[in-house]
Amino acid sequence: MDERMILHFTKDVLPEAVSSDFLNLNKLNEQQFHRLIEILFQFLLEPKETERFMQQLTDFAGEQGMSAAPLRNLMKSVLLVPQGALKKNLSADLLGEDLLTLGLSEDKASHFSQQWAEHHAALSRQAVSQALMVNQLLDMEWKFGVTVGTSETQKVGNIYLQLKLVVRKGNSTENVYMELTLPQFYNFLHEMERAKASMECFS
Amino acid sequence: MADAAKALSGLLSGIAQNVYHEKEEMTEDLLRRELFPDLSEEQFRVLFDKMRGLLKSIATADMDHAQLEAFLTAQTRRQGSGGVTPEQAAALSRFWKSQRVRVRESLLAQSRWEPGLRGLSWRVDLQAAAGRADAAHSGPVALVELQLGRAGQDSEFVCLEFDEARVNQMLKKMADVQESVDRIVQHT
Repeated sequence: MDERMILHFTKDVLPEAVSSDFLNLNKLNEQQFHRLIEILFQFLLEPKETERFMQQLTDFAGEQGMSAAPLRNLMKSVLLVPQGALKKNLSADLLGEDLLTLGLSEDKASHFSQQWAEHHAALSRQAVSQALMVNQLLDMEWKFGVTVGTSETQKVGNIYLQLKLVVRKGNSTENVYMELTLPQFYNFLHEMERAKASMECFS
Repeated sequence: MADAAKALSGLLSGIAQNVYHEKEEMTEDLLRRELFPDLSEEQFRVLFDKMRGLLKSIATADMDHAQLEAFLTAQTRRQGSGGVTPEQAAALSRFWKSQRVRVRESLLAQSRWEPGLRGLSWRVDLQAAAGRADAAHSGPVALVELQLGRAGQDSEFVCLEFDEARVNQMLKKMADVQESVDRIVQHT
């Protein structure tokens, strides 16, 4: 497409593939489209469940006699819209407009935005759904030791981990300190590994 | 007699609430009015200080059953106002048996002076921009929200973004931490 599309959900220039992906969506029948949208919203409501999302797409492709990889790529394009819309807190109407601009048929755009309206409250309630102030992690320092005693207790023997995150906030940097028990540290590590696995699914 | 025992239990509860569980509203004055209205302020202060001091000794040493009994026996044998009545000793014993774990946990929590990590959420976003030459802006981005807070305070939320390279750097550092932990834990 040569013309610049005016979109509400993003100011970025979209890759060519996104336009053709949305036109391909029009080829699906109503039942197929509804099922894909259902899978999409399930993932949006539980964003850590990347593997489940991928598996559901693969299963769907198998059932419909489609290739899985192109379908996954198509859904990656489709995901851009609700993710962008969440950040900008778009209404169902504006989201619907964007879908029409992208070339989605009226029936399908209407169904999609209706689902958006239904789930919007739940999506907005999620933590991290609206990135108010997103910062970059510049560095992480750590200290780890054992508390053997304090002024209030004689014998402790408590392992502690202190983390210092150096974070860029706008033009300045800020230090964020936290102290973790070992179980908290292992949980943190586990979640970061899950996030990495999720990124690998999408890259 | 039952009333006196209840009042003593209540007093110990109140002291623990104030000292260990950070309930500032549980004041000395409130406890006197609620539990020992017949005592003068002066008389109550003596009782309060004594019970508080004993509870602190027990909690600081984290006494087990045997240590507690030995300690309380010694206290009841003391002459004069420093000693403990059998009722007071019984109240202390009952209280510590049921509250030891909670008080311990509170003490440990209070020895952590930095905010703790109360919660963690994350999401992976896809970047739309393809026309940019800047490769650092393409590919998936993880948004991680940390919920930090000290005991009794509201949480502060810090949201960090990571591209794949930074996630890998973070994981490498955490692996270093884990290695250190494993080394120490093995030696203990």
